[in-house]
Amino acid sequence: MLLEIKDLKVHYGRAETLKAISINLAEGSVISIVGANGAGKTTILRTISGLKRPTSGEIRFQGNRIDGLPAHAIVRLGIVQIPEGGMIFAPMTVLANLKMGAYLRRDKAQVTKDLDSVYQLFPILKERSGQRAGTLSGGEQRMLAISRALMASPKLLLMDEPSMGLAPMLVEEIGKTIKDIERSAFSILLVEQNTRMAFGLSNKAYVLELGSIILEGDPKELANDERVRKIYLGG
Amino acid sequence: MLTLFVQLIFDGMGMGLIYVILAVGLVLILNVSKIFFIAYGQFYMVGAYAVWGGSVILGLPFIPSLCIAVLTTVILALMSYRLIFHYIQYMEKQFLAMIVAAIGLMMVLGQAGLVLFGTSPRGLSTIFPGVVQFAGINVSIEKLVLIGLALLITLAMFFVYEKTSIGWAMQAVSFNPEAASLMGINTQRIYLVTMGIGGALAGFAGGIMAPVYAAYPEMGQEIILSVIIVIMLGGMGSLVGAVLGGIIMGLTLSFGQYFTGGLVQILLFIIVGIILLVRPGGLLGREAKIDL
Amino acid sequence: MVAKRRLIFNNRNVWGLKFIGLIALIIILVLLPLVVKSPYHLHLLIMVGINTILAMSFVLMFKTGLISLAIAAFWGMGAYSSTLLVMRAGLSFWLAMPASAIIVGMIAFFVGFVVVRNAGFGFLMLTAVIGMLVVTVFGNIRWLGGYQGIDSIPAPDPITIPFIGTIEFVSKVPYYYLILVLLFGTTLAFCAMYAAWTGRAWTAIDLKHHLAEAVGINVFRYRLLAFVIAAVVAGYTGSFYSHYIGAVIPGTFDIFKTIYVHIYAILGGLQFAIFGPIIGSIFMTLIPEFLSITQEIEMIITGVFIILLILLLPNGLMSLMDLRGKDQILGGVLVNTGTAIQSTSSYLEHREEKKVILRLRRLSKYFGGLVALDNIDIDVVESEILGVIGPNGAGKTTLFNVISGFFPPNNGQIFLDGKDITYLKAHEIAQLGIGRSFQLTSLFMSLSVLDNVFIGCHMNYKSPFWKRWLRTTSVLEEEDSLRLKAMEIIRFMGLESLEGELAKNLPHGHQRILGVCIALAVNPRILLLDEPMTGMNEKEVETMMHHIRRIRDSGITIVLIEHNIRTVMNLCDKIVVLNYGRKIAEGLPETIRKDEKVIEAYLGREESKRYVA
Repeated sequence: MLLEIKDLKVHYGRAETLKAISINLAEGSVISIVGANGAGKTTILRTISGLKRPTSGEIRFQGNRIDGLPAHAIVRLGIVQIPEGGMIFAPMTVLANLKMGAYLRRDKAQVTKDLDSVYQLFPILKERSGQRAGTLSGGEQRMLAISRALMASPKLLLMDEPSMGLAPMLVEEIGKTIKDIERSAFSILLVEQNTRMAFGLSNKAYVLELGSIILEGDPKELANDERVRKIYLGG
Repeated sequence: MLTLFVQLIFDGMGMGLIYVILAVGLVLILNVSKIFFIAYGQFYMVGAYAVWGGSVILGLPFIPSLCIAVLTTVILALMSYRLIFHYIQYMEKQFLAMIVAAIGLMMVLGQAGLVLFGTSPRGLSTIFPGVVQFAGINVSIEKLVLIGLALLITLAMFFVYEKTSIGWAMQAVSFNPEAASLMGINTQRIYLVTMGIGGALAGFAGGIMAPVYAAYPEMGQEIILSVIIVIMLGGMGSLVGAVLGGIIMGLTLSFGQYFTGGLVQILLFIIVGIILLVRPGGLLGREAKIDL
Repeated sequence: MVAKRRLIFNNRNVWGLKFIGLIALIIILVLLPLVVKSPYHLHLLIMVGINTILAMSFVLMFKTGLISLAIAAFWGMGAYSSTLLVMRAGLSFWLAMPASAIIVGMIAFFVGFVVVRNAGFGFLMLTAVIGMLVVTVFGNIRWLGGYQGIDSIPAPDPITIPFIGTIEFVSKVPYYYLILVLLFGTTLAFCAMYAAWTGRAWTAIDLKHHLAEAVGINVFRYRLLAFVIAAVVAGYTGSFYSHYIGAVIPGTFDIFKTIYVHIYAILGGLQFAIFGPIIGSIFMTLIPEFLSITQEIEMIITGVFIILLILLLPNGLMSLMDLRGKDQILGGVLVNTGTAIQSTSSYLEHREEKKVILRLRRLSKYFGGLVALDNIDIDVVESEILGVIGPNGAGKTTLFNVISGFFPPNNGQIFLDGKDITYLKAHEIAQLGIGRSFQLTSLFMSLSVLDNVFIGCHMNYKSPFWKRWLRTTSVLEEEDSLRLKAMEIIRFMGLESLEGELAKNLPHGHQRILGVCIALAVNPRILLLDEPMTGMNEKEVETMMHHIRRIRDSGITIVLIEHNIRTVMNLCDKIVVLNYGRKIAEGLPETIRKDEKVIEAYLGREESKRYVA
């Protein structure tokens, strides 16, 4: 198991946002967590990434406990998050953003190679490499955010609602991109509201409702579940 | 006529560079550590007194005294951050709490300076005696050296901010601390580093001013308003703006003082007011993100 | 059903104290000089009074979302003008004080006209400049006494008060009572303002000014009003100050004084517009007295004290009192917002058919070099649901912002019912009947659901300014009817069970619904909904679609921006497609679904296939 979350409880103030959830992610797999807004999906990722301290429970990465570690230490371990909306640095150039992704890395030669791979994946970024990231369109910014994360050479990639706010056509593209990335050497934990897209990309899915996991399993089977169909897939 | 012009420019640049250094330091603290550090002027004062202390009391030559001054202000800045501002960062009404804490700190340091060193100014004897002829005017070597040092430090700051990885980390933190930490940047450490650099710059500025203008208790409180004006002029989010603003300030004061006497301040305020009306972000800046 | 007349002083929960407590407090304050004899201590109390009023002035600006650094500047203007009126123009103090207050008010009006326009940050900087400028101006003008200032300012003339006798201003005691009167009067006036609709408008502006604008509140006017009032208050306090001290020097009125005033208010507790300043001033003026061992150390100790206070009690000293409860409201002055009143009338009487047409002609908007809207022509038919779709950056939200008056267009025209509304401001557009919801959830987060919609009814509030502050019966009746109206809207949209819940505690889907409720409060003929279903799950989307249909059925025209294709296709009578600021297609849903240009630009092959069935 690459990532093990056991009985994780998280509170925001007095509200219990996550109620003792447990998730297992095997190396090389793509896991999705789906649920409505407010279900707690973003909280899971924030807690894994060290941006939020859990109240109780364990998070283990490669067997070692990581809950309670500060955010920068989590990144150092190889867990990289693409936060909701991408959070690119708008005043910096595209290239500078990509370089920031590789902030912790010391292997210069490999970094350059990775930069080339990223440019192959998203040629538009190479075209715009000298432009300020804030001038890019919404979809391009999302691509930049993904590339920036890839530049960190992650072992585990956390994606927070990659399709959020994007037009349907772009959602398709992002979906295709993620499928492309999946062939690479790392595991992905994907959190999404777009259930259909998430199911299509992952080999295991968890359904989160109001802070608890109500279903888990193979997405193809979950898609046939009554509850899931009605609430999340629109019947 | 020309010699007057050159003299005024020279004096203006000299003063301006001090403002530049202080403005750069304050802009960094403002943008990266997000602290409205109105107590910054006091660090300038501490630097000046420290150099005096080193030279006059300990009898050290200038450069080591300057180093002591910078060290003192750095330590003081780091302590201020760790003991006070570190906790405020987690508060809701951050901006206002910062002001309150900074005022409190300003009072403490200001009064401490008064108590320790008394009310009369403390001067230093000239460190680099001698005068040089340049473009028809007499320029003291001391001023020349100090201007040179100031220029060097400013350029060094730019280099660090734009070209080094820690500079980039500071930039990232100034744009989005959370995103920065997701890149593996230790934001806490960056806040400390920024405070340290800011403190060092203030101490340095105070230190090189001491031989020229002497150290006195009110110098911190007096200069902070001017530095804030410089930053408003140049744009609160911009390092280059700080430089621009500082130079404009220095030149305006220099020329304004000569031609209009005391009214120069009014003139300055009016100019600044007009600029702010037209461009509220300052000449170059984006507005600082202040969370009210 | 009309609620009983609610005068401030009759309200048992004003200021967190019971009525009896209030009387006791007043008695103590009045009798204090009998106990406190030392002139120095009286001086301290007088300074507390002055500082309190100044702090209240600061908090007033703060309650409109602006931080003013010009408080001491107006204080100084009041001091100087009063001094000059008495010493150079020969007026009696009792005339000079109100006169100087008026003078300061007028200056503030003209200054404010220019300065208040700017957003929060610009305002901060500009008032900082004013604050710094004023000292320099005072110091450099000969006939103001220069940096030495003016001294030998005469005391106020003796006045004769019935039943008390003639009072001469020799000792400090009369000054104490005078400042007490000023403080009390200011407090009453502020209470009246805060409790009135004006205060609610200020709160709305403070919480989310573009939403306030969108419900018809003229943000600029309300802020200017606050600015002038704050200045006037500082002005007459300055007048008192100069005649009390007997001398004025420019240095007193510098920007550091303003910042100290800020500190009094902050340390008192910014939540409380009245008691925060009082407590803060008392503490900050008196505590250093008790703490100082020597004169020198005093400032150091004060500084340390300030730092400790802000670290330990970031919400101020008032946060030590537990004042939570239903009666706490808007603006931090404790006034009863009223409990739920049973409604009997129906909000949605069937509307008469009116010709409501929204017409956009050649509408263009540029931001620097970026073309956001390029020659847009759209006709919106009454009672239809028009969908606006397109990729990110196509200009959809910009279109809404231009129509609703947040940005003026660079070119083109907008007609509402044949009337040209192109360059009207946001609050004017709201007043004409165009309501909108925002792409990013925009609510008055710290207010309840009911209060959110209640404030949204702003435009229906017809009582004139001055009547509001007097809280006459007709005013209270009007507020009750507005509250009823708000509740009907809430019921219409299905949120009645959450009426008292704070907006920030609502789940996302309900927050979006609340946003639509607020838009409905302006009695719109046209409703602009900007991605109302963002972040909703399928069930919530169904509910919202249902509500939108019902809104349309009641006669309101709806223009809808949405990314959820299923929604748009099922809900809209007509669809307009934007791309790069241009309209690339327009027509019925079935037509749009198959349009090649639209598929290429926006839908993508997969999505379009899905909806063909």
